[in-house]
Amino acid sequence: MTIEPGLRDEMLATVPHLRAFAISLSGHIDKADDLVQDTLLRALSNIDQFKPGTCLQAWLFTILRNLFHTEYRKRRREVEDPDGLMASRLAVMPNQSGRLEFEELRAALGRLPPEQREALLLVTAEGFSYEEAAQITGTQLGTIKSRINRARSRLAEIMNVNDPEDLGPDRLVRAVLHASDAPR
Amino acid sequence: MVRGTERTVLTALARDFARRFISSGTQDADACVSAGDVLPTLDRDVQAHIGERLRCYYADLLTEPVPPTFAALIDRFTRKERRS
Repeated sequence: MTIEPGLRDEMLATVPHLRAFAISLSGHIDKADDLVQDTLLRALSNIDQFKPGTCLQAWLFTILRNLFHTEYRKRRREVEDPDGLMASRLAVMPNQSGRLEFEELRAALGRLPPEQREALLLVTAEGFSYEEAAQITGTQLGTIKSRINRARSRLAEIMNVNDPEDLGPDRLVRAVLHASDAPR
Repeated sequence: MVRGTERTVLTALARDFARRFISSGTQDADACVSAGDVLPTLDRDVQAHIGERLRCYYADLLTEPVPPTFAALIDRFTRKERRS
């Protein structure tokens, strides 16, 4: 199968998504770019295996995810980062995402097991359906749902937001309301 | 030993319980039941808050400028294929 201009454009349009997913998975922009490049090379070399009419994005995500797990899992300790050390040492991150407001979330994501992290990212952030995520990760639907559930609970635990009372804006609003109710 | 019919009834009861009393939503409840898991009691507002922050973080990553190397790689490969 030749690479038609439409397919080329679609592939190019998917690159930012692949890159965001790879950064979130690997926790490092250089590794993420290597991963995206390897994914594109693998996809272009095996373009005959892509079935026209199916979702190119899901196909590319499957390749990227498999590459991550086969080639990059060798550095398992670094990737899983149980103590959040890797996440806290990330020096080469994109400028915008280096913003303080995402520091806590990025560190928390780095502490999730890769299987939970990818499931959560695919469905909650990337917007794939549970079925598509199960297909991409080569798992059962129930497993994906369970992983997402566990990932959410773990993130809440790490970020210390297990109760609505812990949510920042609400707490602020309550404080303002309380102050306005107070006798003058 | 739990037999087939008993297992089905127990699963249905567990799913019903999850839907009624656990605020994490029907799909998650189904997932927990199907996985034979302990149901986490994560509040719906907390879930929404985490989801929202995650989407903001991810949207931020999506706006990052993409290095031109990827487009060049695809074009190089496409040209090579046309020539062959």
